Amino acid sequence: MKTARISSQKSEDSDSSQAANISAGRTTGALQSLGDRAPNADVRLDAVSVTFMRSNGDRVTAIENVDLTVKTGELLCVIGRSGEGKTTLLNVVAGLVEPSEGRVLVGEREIHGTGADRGVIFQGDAVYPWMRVADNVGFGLRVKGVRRPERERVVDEYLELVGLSHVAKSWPRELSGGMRSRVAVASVFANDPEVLLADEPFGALDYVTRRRLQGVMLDLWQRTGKTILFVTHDVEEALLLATRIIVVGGGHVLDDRPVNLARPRDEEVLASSEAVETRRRLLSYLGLEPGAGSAVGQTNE
Amino acid sequence: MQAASTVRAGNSHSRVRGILLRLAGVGVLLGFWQLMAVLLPPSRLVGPWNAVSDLVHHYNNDPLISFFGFSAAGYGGLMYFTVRNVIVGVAVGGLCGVVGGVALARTERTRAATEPALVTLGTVPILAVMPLFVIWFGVASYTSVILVALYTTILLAQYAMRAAENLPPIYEARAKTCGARMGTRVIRVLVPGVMPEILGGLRVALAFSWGLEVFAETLGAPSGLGQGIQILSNTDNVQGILAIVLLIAAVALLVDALLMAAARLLFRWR
Repeated sequence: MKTARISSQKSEDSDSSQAANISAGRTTGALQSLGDRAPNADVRLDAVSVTFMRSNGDRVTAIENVDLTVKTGELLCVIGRSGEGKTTLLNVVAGLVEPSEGRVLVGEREIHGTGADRGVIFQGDAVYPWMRVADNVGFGLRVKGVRRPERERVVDEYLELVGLSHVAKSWPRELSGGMRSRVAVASVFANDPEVLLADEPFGALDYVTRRRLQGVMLDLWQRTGKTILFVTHDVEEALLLATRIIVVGGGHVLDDRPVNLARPRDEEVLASSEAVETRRRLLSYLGLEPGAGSAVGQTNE
Repeated sequence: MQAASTVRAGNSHSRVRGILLRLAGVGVLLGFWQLMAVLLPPSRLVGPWNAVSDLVHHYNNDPLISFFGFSAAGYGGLMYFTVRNVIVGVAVGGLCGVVGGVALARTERTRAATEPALVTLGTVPILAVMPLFVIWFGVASYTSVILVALYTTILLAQYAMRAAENLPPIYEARAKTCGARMGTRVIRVLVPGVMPEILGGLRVALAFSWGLEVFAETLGAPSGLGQGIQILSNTDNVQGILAIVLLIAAVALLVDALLMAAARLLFRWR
């Protein structure tokens, strides 16, 4: 897990130094210390339901009686159509939404509210425009009270890993959307959460940038061994990243299966019979005709 | 890099163009003033040069003002009183308004209870209630300070409330998921996030406060440019009044320019 092997997607331009590090299997001090630690970061949802009250007084059940366990080090992709409860599921684990019923545990702890043990990469742009790139990445560490020299060391390492060392002193407005997404990814990993939650983090990006960031994400996961819940609309993204995929629909978990495809998941692996079968099944859950998979994967929603 | 330097060059060009346009605007205004001064008799209007000359001549000492027993016997001394009152009033009112407005934005019930009162107070013409302040607090230097502070508080509370509501909730959600407590969220997220919008309110408050302070001083104050105008108008000294008006305009512009320079430094990220 800790010996990094990058997937086939990332090799582009400014990531060359990063790619060199990854292909050489080098791990830096901060990352090694993260990877060596193996806390129990299982995420468990016990009969969790979330009900919202609309302004007109109607009650809406976003997720209902969900039982789910995500094992430490798993990269679980959550897919489903819009409004079916994916983001609510993630927000419940993040502590941004309290369950109406049931409980959520991380390790042995029942969680209430947010905490630095669960980092979130948001769907929207959450990079603070008033902080320089390095300060954004180090924000969580600063909140934790990590001293400046240590903070700077960790920030430098993560900026190098996501290929943004050259813009450490820049303001976010000077960056492209893809670069800001990399800042968001680096910020969350630098804060060293036990569980990482990603809510369609690359959904608004162009195809090339998205593929590059998927590579960055995969690499950081392989290096750190974090437990990750990754919400996506994109079946191809789920197939590329996941160790396990669940399908959420109508507030329930409709399907829950491991993805045993070999890594790196290059074109050949993703064209294998197992991948084709998994894709077909996932697309049918999303209400798409079997065989429409490749087209959907490329257009992403 | 090259693109960045091109953008910077473009920015400096547009800034120079902006300054030139502003100077041209001032030139047109002065030209119009001079033209009117030529057309009207000196008892009604004097030209800008005469006003400036009067200002320089009486900056440190004006016999007429000394005659009325003011300790600050020139326009400069009167100006010090006015500037101090405006700065103190805007600072106190600004602090109360920003803290109050941000706090109100975050507590729905309190906001629901206080917002109508704030809006109502905002619609009351502040100049109309000024005589009440003189009755309540007397002819004291702090009377106009209280007035300016009250006006600034009401205005900036509304700006701050709107700014806090407009701040994307995702920023605070991110801070929460980093483990930030309320104090850290306020200092590191809320304050820097709302300040640029509040700056607009601060400029409006400052611009209006000069007029408010001077008008309050004309009703009754121990010193100040308003009192200077009052004395000069009793003797039909048009030249002196225009000199003081010029002084107020110059000070207001200077303070606004300093505020904008500070803002450019503080909000480089915009």
